[in-house]
Amino acid sequence: MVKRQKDEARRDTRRRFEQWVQNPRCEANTVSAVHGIQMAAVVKHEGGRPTMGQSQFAIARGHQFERTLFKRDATVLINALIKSGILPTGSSGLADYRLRIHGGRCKTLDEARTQTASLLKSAVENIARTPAVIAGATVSIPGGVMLPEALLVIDAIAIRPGADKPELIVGEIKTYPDRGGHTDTRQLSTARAQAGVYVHALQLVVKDLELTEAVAIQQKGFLVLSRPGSNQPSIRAGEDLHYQTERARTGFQLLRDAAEKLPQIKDQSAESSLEAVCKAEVFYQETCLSFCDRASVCRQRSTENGEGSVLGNDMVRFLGATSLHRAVQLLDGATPTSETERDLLRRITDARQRIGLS
Amino acid sequence: MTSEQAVRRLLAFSAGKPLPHGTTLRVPTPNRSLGPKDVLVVAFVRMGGESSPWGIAFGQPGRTPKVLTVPEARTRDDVADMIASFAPVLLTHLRHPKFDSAGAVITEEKRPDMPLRQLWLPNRSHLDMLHYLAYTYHRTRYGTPERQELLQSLARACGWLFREAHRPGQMVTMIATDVLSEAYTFPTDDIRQGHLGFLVAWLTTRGRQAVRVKAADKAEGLSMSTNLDPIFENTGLAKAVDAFNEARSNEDVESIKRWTQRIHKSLNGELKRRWELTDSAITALEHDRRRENYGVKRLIKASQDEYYRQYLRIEHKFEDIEDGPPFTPSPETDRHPAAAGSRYYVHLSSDELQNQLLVHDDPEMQAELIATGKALDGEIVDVSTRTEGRKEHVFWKIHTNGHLPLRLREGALLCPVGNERRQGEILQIDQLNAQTNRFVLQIIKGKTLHEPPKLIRANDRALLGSRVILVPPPMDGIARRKSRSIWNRKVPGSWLTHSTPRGPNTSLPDAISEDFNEIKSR
Repeated sequence: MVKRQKDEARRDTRRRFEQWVQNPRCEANTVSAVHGIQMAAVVKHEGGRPTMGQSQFAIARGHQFERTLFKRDATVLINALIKSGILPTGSSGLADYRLRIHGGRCKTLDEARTQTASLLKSAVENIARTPAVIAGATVSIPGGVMLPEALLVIDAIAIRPGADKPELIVGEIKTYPDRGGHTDTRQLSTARAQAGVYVHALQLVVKDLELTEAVAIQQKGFLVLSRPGSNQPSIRAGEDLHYQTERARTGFQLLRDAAEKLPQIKDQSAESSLEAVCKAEVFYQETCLSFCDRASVCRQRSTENGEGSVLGNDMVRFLGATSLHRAVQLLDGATPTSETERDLLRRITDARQRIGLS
Repeated sequence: MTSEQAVRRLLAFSAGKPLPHGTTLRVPTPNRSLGPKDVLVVAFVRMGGESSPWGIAFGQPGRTPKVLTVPEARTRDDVADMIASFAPVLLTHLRHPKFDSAGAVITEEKRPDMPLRQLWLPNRSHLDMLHYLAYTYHRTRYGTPERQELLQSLARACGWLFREAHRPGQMVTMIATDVLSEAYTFPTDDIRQGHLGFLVAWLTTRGRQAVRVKAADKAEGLSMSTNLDPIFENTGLAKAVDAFNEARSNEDVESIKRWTQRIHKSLNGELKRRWELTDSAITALEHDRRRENYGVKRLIKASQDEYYRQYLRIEHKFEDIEDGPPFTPSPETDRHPAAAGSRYYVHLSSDELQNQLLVHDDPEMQAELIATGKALDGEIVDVSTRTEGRKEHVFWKIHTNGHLPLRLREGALLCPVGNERRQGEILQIDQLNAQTNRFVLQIIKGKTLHEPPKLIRANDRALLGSRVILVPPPMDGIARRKSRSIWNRKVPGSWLTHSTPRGPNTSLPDAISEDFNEIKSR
């Protein structure tokens, strides 16, 4: 029973999209994301040890935080949204389409998707009777972006009456602490990127439901973070998601193109599918370390190939088409053989002079 | 990354080991400018998803650290008790008036000289933990009044240490990874340099490149941030914590004790590793043969000054003419415009001081400034004077390499390297030919300084033909004066600098807000 519920939860492809976005130039990453082949399994298959596990405690904390937000018809969340000016005073009501395994009411993501669509339609007809918050709104992205399907579960959508039509405001929930200007910028940008994906997905769904003229999807969303040392939410309102939405739109298009070119894989857990990732071209960059289990394997390969990325992305730009090994030879006095190498050597010599190390 | 940084990294890669960055060390190290007792090394671990510590290791470098843990990091009261046990150590180290006699003797008029006290942390995640502590206990209302007061004192100390860590040139809150990355160029990317074990392994492993790489890769596999390795947490600790919680709900004293010990043992190893890595980083710096930059002493003075103004006098509730009334800033933000403006100017001043001070004693930094056109390296080709009444004006003509970039303008101030008391203003810049630039400088400060053989009078013709490196002088005093002026209520514009912010986005929960009444009292 629990396994079935977990499998159902895994149909949410948001993580896979975010994984792909971290390094879209890496074919192995694309194969893994599009087909849902876990990199951890690939690493184990290659005889390595996955490094990107998730703490049980952190997962439990995430669930607890969500419970706090959504209990008693999301009173805590709605009050916080009212206080931050996202919802008007007096707003109430929760449409909970989260899966049961996550404390919600839906058995399957298909059920959640159907209910999300009906709620959007009914909101157009009677906004006064529409709940202020939807939890776990589920949408599907058309066009074979992810295989076998692309489903996204949106953490929270706030619905408010606009001047002439209902307004939908996308929200992303994260458990990490909001520390004002000191909040981790990478975590914030990831949360904004996710919210941007939701906005774009919602735009597609609304178009599909022929509601584009009837509802307004706000380009400014909100983030729900926690207050340090407490379970209370801290709302970051007015998060501008224009860029992130555009990024998601372009990303989906690229992914669609990439997915079409990939070989067909029927069983994600089969050895052949793991081999497909292993055989795919890799494009290592320093940020791989922060999201990919295979980073150390790829780095090793890049070092052997003399790729500048092992010394950072800036080094790639500095070296241009010249390999790291060749750059070291030039540094040690080798004669440049091309215009590119002459240019690199000139830049190296200039910089060495400037720092007094010539 | 600049071309210079890229080349440094390439050179390190080619050498197969970290290379010293700069000809001098730009941080004070124990047994040089600091006594070993003036350093406290602290490391934290936290439970996944939590922002409170699960355990703390602390102690002086070279000694055995003391380790405190709680079995269940989600029980806030237990965590608060653990923090309360740690608080006296940190507060004594910072000479809090209630914990240290030296800190207690200062008055508004009299500030005895006290050596700098440093706090060393493994990496930035441990610094964030100080911020979490400042948040959590800023205005805590839980526990006994004594514990509340203790924790609030600790929160103020942590808040100051966290803020101070962001002030350029500060010498108090030392992040080991940042210090090592600044002192050496490592043959690796920026992200990996956030791992202290990785950096220490590069520095301390002897042998060929392959040996160092292997050691560094191995060290990188062990977590050193405040987060534990999820696999370690899930396999070993999760069961123990569950068992502890079960024993606690069953009030099974024996089991509680057993599981508490088991969890402590697991966390002890993790904490000690983080602490020892920091200790190793300090040792590596101690063993560095480079001497300390002469500017470090001035930066230490500036840090001591900042320590008094932003920590000690606030604990004593003394007013300060430059830094305003004694109030405890919110851990989240500066809402009062005068407070925010004042801190902005202090940071500006600190940045100016750091940049212009260290360069006097570091030829590599000088070379970089010259190469980027922000300083001059040339030959004095003429020394002339013009008398106006009793006043003598001194002019230098300097020829420099015309191929180098130039960012200096007429009107810019410069001072000779090693002597910031003498200053000149650029009156004219000409390009004589493709190879040579000519600068006409009027010496406006320190004309008569005469400390041969290094320094002779500015009008002495013996200077002809001598090489001179001129760098921008420290102008930190200007920003400091602005910081002082911004607190003045009786000047135009005070309606802006002293208006209390209002509106929905300016409200903060009481638990983390500053007290505007404390600021307004001035």
